Amino acid sequence: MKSLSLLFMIALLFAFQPSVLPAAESKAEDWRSRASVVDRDTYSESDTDEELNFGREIAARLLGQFKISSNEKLQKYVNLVGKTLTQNCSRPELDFHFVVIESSEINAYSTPGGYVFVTTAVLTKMENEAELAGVLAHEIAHVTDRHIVKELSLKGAEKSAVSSIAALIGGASESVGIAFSQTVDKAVDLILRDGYKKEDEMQADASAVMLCAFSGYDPSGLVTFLDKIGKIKSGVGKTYPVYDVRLATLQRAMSDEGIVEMKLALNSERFTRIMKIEGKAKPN
Amino acid sequence: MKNGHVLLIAFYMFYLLITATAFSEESLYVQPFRARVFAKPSVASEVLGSVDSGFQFVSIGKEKNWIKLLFKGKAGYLPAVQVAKTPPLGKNTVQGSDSAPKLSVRSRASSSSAVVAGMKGLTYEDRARVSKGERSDYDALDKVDALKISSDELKSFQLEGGKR
Repeated sequence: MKSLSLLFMIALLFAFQPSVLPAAESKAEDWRSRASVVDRDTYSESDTDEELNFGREIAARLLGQFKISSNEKLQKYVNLVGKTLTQNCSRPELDFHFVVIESSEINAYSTPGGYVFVTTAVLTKMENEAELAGVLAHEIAHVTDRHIVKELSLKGAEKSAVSSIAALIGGASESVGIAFSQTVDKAVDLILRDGYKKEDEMQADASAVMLCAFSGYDPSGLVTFLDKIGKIKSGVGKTYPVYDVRLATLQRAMSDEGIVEMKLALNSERFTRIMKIEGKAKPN
Repeated sequence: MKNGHVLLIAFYMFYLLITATAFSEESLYVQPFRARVFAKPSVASEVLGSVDSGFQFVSIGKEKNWIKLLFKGKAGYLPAVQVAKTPPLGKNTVQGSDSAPKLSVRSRASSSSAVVAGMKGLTYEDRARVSKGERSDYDALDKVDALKISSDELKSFQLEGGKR
């Protein structure tokens, strides 16, 4: 009996302990514990150099497959929206580039280091700037959280995740060069064909709405856009997880953060004006 | 009160002290170019002010995904995703001239893309051969890099926005 009451007291004390420790980090399902920048401690400036150079190779490969839209004003507009977002992102060391590419595919892509691509087709499905910001923020999140680097398991034996990229880049032999090129191939496959893990997509969604809110864009933009695209694609393709699950998860994350009711900028008029006058964003 | 209970409570108090100290003494750094400090742990709450990238502070607690700090004499909150235990990294550029390009076919040594292409010691033709035959367009990459947005342009764009 005595030991039972002692056990009861122990349980009581620990059950009511104040949350001085990061409670969220103890939840495996918490998107933000995955998105945490705490793991930055393991990255150095030279790691970022290698990540950027790796990303540029992938970007060059993507640009070999898609033509850049020749509309400079549209390119500039998309960059202005993107840069507005990246001012608030957790990796100021990256110089992001946003590129409109001509394609009938409704999609957006990003490479390590900060190259973000949106297709002309995806722009035609948007109704306001907040939707564009939502899509760009989603891609920015893939970059800031290093989803490709992690997905390709580019982990050195003893160092950071990108140390093996550095080894490939630094290697002088042809075989090392071939290995590097094959790694780029894998990354391109992941971006264009295989798609990210479901968890990475959901994490990028949740990070994106927060980034939009921090940047003054209505976080509902991504929700309305995904809802629309989910209906258009109706589950076709492997790039995204099932849209209704994705939307439900996103709305739960928004509710947790108290941003569901936020009414921030949509900039509908500016978006419509740019698309009408400058856009001519017709898919091929 | 029994001795066992006293000991237990003492142990618990010690545990609380250790964990609280471990967290409260954590020194953190703001990562984005600028981050807003909120009055409550919510992006919808009042904004107390903003801090620049690299701003160092000592956290005094954590609520869900928000870090609590003292800001201008008041309790304030920063989003956990915008802070880290280390200072923000410096701006990175494409790998420099240390890794001299070994281009024999399409020599454009001044181009950043040439550096990228050549740094593995392979020519463009080599690269095309070892890849799946998918073409890389380094001229297009240079065009992408060439597009610059000035801070004035960005500022006026943002001032013009903010509408429904």
